[in-house]
Amino acid sequence: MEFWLTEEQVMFRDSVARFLADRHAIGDRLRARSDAAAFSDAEWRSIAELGWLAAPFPEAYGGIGGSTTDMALVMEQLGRVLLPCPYLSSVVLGGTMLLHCGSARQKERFLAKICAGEMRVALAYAESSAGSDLSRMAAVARPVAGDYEISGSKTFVLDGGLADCLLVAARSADGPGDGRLSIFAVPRAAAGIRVEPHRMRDGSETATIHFSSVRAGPEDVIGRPGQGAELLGRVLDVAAAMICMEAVGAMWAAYHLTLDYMKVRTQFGQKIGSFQALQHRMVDVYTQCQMAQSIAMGAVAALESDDAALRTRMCSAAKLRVGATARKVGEECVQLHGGIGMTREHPVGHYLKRLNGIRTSFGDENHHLQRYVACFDPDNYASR
Amino acid sequence: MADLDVTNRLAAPWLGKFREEVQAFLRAELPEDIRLAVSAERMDLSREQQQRWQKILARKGWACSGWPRQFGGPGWTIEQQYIFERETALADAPRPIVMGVQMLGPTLIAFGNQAQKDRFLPGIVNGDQFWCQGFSEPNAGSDLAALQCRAVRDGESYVINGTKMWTTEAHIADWMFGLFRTDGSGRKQEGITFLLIDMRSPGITISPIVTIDGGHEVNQVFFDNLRVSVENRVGDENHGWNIAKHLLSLERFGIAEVSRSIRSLLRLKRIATEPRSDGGRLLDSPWFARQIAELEIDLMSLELAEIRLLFSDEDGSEAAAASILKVRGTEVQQAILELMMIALGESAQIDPEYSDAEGDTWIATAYLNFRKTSIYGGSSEVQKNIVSKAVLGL
Repeated sequence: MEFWLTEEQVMFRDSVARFLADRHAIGDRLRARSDAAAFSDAEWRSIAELGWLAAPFPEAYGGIGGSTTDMALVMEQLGRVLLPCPYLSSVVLGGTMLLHCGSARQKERFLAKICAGEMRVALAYAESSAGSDLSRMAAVARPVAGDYEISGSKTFVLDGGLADCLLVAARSADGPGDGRLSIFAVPRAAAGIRVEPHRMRDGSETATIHFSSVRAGPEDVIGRPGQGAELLGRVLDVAAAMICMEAVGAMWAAYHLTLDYMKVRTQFGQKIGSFQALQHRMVDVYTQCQMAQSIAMGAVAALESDDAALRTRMCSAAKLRVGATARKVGEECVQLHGGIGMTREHPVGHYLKRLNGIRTSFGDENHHLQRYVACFDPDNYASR
Repeated sequence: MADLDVTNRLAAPWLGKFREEVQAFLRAELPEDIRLAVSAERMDLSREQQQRWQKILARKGWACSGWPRQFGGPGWTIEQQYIFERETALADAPRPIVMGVQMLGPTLIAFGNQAQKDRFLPGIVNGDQFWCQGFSEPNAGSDLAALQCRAVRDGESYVINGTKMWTTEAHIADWMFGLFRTDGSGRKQEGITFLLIDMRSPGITISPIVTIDGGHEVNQVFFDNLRVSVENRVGDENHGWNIAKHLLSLERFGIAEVSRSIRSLLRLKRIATEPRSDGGRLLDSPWFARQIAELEIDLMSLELAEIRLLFSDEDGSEAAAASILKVRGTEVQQAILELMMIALGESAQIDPEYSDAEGDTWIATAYLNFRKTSIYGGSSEVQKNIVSKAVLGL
């Protein structure tokens, strides 16, 4: 990304990197295993004060007036240190949904608070029987006296237990297909909501959330009723591109850890980095990191495009390639560490776990391959 | 949108007009027989075809696209060169002439004396003089500095004895630029001298080498008391290695052959969407669709990496960039040709040398021919050694 960043963006990225390097060594992720509070409110407030949450959003709604590129820069740096925090859920998913799809009132109501770190948002859309297949979604929002009553269960809601506000996808009218999906904003503390939190292998927090006749008003519908599938498509493209940038940060960090180790670990009387078989594998890791970074940056750049098909194609291309690469890089870095890489005390395995978590989040390779092939243009190459 | 131009460096309106001008020129001027040869993935155009195309380019002032104007190039910006390379590939116009235009010309511009520039550059621009490269030897391939072919100073001449191997187009070249051992006493990189040799001199024997695709591009060249005037030495005696290193780094642009691979991928997509005898299309097979999709994404990653790394202002990234782009570029290129060959089935496997079957044999010829790309110009393994040392610090 380096060479097309503005000077402000470079300064922003460097300040993010410096803050994280000073305060959040990889150790935080390791401690998170045993610590009940993997992430603290105080940390979130410092991050908010530094403007990371506000960076991508317009000034009119409490933002700093940056772009999705600023979001991508934060994601990449978070990936480097594996910091557990609800940035992806609240800022990327929640903030993007409200920015692109919310009414002016909703933006005032939610976005300013997200930017200030006063409200955390989570997006509840996947279901156990439907996965991320929106057309099979079972949750319903029944019209009741001008309001809605939402019922159903959502799985793997990222940071669902940490959120103040849930954006829930549900069918707002009877009938098949995904055309009638709507998105509702409801307080997590609302009556009828039950949260079962899960700690994931990679240290991230998800939740299964049960909705039982949860009341929402017409003013709580994000966008228009029935527009849910379109809004989710847009937001999940952004999520795919952003999580790719997180993966890029994590891959580079794992690469550097491994490279450093190869320069100090001695076997057979020499540094293991002197063996050509290992050198070539490490060059492959480096090359894969470069390729992954390139396609991830391409996806981030495509998010600015008005062409929805281009956005989808580039984001799926990136998620497919980065997903496969992330696994390979993570596994190679553990392998090249040898036995020490297998220990929980060593950071490298935690990168592997996060990279695998990223791989299955927001659509795995199979999902994105199908999506990519569906918009495959036989007469043209890529964006042509 | 004509490229994955995430940098917006190619988006300026004047560059758009330039692109249209290039496209119009190619539509009007590219001879059909040459276009057909290139569209069959042929790299080995005849001397006559290469010369004809070079003269068409020269008339337009577009010969030697990377050269400064004072030496007969168009003096283009890097963005213009990028666009020109892309559009010539998409039109199935020939690649630039490698030895003269891409290698020796820039080397003479950097290291040649005035007399050498005056004497040799015009012939490269107008396509009258063809060059070959005398670097590799039977026992000096990846380990180029181990070369042994001797040049012994005798008055105002060098006397050369020995042999050069894998010499591409030696059989159609007028001149050779080469590396010769003038001193064997020190480090092997020292004692190498860069000389220019008239291929019609007495004492040269050219022996053809037929490759696995059945083609004749490379040769072994033998020197028997060949005399070369000292005025044909580039740089100082025993200082040829640095010139060679510079020359080998020149091939940055297009080293990944992204543009050519885009063209090949489009050919592959065309084949995959044609109705087959059973009425279906190859693209409808999940396995095949997946292969093509992944290749396209690999190519997009490579294209973006090339833009990032080549247009990067960061110092020191260039050598590494060239190496990883070459490794990945040839992998992707070879994979596209391989899949195209599989797509065309058994009819591609008929040997055109013994059977009268034009049809699809071209693809197996190309597939076999392109196995060379990960071997020549520094094999993939040598490139990885370079990256390991220069970037990884191992």
